[in-house]
Amino acid sequence: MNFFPNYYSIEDIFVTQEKVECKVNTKLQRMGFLDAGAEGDDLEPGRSINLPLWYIKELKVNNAYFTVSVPDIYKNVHKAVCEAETTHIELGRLHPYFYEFGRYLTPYDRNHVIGRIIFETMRQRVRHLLDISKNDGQMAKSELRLDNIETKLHEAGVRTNTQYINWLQMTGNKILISELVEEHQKKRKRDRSDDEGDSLPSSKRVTL
Amino acid sequence: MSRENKLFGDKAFELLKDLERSSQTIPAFDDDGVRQVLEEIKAIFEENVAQASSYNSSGDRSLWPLLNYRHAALQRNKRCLLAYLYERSKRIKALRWEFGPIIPGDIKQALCEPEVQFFNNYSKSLAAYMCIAGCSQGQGIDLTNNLRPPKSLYIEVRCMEDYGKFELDDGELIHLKKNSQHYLPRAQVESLVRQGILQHIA
Amino acid sequence: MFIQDLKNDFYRHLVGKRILIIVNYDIDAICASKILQALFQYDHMLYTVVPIMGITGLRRAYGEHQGDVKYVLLVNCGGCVDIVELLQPAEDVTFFICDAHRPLDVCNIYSDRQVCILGDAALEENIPAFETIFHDSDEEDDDQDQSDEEDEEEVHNDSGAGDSDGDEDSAQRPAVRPKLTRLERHEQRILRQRARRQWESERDRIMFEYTQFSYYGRSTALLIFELAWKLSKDNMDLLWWAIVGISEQLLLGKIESGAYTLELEQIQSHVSRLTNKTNDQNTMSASKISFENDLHLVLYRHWPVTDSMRYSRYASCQLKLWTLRGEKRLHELLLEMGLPLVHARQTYSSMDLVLRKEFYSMVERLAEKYDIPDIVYGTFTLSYGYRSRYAAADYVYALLAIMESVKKHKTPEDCFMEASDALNRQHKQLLGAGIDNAKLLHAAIFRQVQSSLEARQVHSAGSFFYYVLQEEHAFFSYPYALGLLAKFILRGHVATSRARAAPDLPLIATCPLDATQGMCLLVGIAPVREDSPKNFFGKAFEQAAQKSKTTLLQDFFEPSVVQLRQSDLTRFLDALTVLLT
Repeated sequence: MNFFPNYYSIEDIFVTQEKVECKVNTKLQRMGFLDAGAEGDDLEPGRSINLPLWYIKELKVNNAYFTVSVPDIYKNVHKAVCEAETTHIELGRLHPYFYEFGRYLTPYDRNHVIGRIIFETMRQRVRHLLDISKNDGQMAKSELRLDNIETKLHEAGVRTNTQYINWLQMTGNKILISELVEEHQKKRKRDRSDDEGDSLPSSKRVTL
Repeated sequence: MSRENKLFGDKAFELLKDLERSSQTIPAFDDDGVRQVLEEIKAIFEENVAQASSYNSSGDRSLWPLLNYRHAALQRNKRCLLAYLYERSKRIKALRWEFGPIIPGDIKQALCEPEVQFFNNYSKSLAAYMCIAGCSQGQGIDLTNNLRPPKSLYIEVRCMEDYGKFELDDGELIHLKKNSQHYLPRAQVESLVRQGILQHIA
Repeated sequence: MFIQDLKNDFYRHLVGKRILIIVNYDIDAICASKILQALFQYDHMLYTVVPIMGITGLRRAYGEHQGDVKYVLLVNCGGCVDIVELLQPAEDVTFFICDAHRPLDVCNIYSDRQVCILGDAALEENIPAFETIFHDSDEEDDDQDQSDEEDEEEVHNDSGAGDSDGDEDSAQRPAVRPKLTRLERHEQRILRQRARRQWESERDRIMFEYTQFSYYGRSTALLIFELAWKLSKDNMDLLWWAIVGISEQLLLGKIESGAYTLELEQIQSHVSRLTNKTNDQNTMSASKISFENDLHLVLYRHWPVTDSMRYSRYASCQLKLWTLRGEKRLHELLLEMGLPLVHARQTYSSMDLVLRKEFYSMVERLAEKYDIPDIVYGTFTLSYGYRSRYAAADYVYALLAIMESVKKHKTPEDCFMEASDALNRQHKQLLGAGIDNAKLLHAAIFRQVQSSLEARQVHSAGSFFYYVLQEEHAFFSYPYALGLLAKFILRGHVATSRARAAPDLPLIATCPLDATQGMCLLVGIAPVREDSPKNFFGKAFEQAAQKSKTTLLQDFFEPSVVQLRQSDLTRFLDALTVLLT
């Protein structure tokens, strides 16, 4: 899990691939390719276009070319945060990288609420996260409710919880098959059964 | 630059997405994708050089934003590409710990030549380190063994596939045949359990 | 040869060696092998366990491991075949056999070193004396050619000795010859031949008597448990496994109830000794084995009472529960017991506590009146924790169901392993699944019995009944399930039949195994009135096959279970009819 993304962090690359809506402030020569609706080669002022985060973060916050508009999702959450009812929000549906995306957008938010929102949201939800980590296996249906970081936290929570239980039951020192190998075997088995189809001879006969 | 590829960096991102999609195993090295990204970088660079030199001569600053954007795209491509290679190398290292010094053929096929080299070198370094690590005891320590604290010297194992003969340290030959059950020294069979040939039953 | 002192001659002898354990596919064997494994683990002895089914499997398993091991232990297999002849082992390999199957092969018994049978020779019945079945090689001399032919039929064939005799022979002959006239020589030879023939026919008679019936000896699990006890390594788990082992023998009718009762006393003393040994008996959560009188009702602790009654062979057949009248009678019984139908129809565990406590005594009180006196038997229950309570019979039925739960991606070996896992208390869920499977199996058996009896599918061939399942069946294509079905059907048929001789007739049931290979499974069941579990079908099948010239696959260690080609079935049954009348 990466809270301090480094250069090689794939997750951070995923976040910075997200697009943000921006307003063009001045005429930008030969940059019309950024605007799907543009007619000429140039980018006209007043248009709104979606730019990837990796570009925006290279620009100064108060640059002369684009003004970043903060997505609505954070405004909606704002209300819930005030009412302290964030646990039922389907964050994952709002945005898969709710927190990290918000973090990048904080400087562009003139009202200075995003920072507070994501902090408060996390603070309120983390307790709930802890609770649901205690009962594993129920994740499938509520998958949309968690954003990326939360999902990872939840996975880690479930894992730790099982390890703890295993330790309590003293079953922890069983040697297990390595995960990668298991995955590989499964894949091989899948491939094999695909090849053979259902023509497997019924090997159930008493041939011990 | 054509309109289809307007934002740049999409190809490079695809590479990472593919990698992320198969989070457990290593997908085949995307030679073609990597080449295309490199080409894109090259194209961007050449265009930028051309326009930068024209700026030098004319002093026209109107193309600056474009130059800027292209440069960011170039950096972006580079980052994606490096992250791609880095992530793969991380997984290759994990292979050594999980599969042992010999990796299955179909996985090996997914690696490109330098990666195979990397794996071999890593394996060698690890072996060399393991030799030194236990030097005071003489033999060295197999760090890939005993990942969990052992509770007993011997364990009960069940054979999951036909493996053939397996020789213990004392020269005893064991025929590992599917569905047979054995009681063997833990230290010597741990790697077989990890590789899924044996199953530890407790 | 027999080894009586297991502790010194068997166990001590093996400590520190690597051993191959070959286990037959039955519950007693699984239990015995579990106990053995526990023992070997205490002493850090390396071992390999291989499950096998039938003689082919035994030969294959040994073939795969030979060369690596010097000590082979056969659990519930191999006692009735000449091991040396079958496996052709190297000189330095030693076989230990603990097999409940009887009769034991005479060559194993009289082997002087290589084959050791664990058990007490004194307990074995009428083993032929050595002289009566093995002849001195001197006698072979004259009629070499004749005896050569006969040798093939003989159980014992000492080929090495035969060769050297030939040489000796030619050296001696010239010396003897001149003294006798041709006539004298001829006379002598005829006399010798006659004596020889007499001896041979006598031997054949003895061997036939000895091998005529197949039956079972003491439970192997119990035998091995006693070894554990003598080594002071016994504990509750091992004892429970031994109990499961012997319960299987009883429930599958492998031993007489008398033999079972005799063993009970001894087991009880083990139980009380081990219970006193453990200090934590106060806590409810500790595992505890207790002896009690229980009912011969299938899995009744895990089922509604009505279902359990209906699906239990004994109760069902005595009350004819598959008929409408039987159903009425069941209701009468319940009424008289004071068990409300509402309770009788829900799972036992959700019945009223008072009723549950009184259930046993209620049934026992009325057993005589409803002609089900044998429903009561002494058995053991295992309880651990607050909720888990299992009778030995529950374990047996669950394991049986697991062992025959072969599916497409689940080989018989997997089932064997699963069954052996289910014996461990950590794998309660496996046992639970096994019990659920067993319920399905018994329900299926009952339905099959009901429909077969209604459709009068049990036919009489004069000296025996036969019952033919026409189609491959998810449950009955396996030996144990088919055996259970056949017993139920025979009992049911006898209960409804008016023929006076019915209880004295055995039943042969057959079910197709594999449509593609055209093989079918055949089991022979002893008559109802016969209390002794001795079964003559092994020998009878063999002879019928010879007469009808059909190829019979007597691969199982239970000789009364055979496989043969579907197309040969009619011919085979005809031959059997002729043979048995």
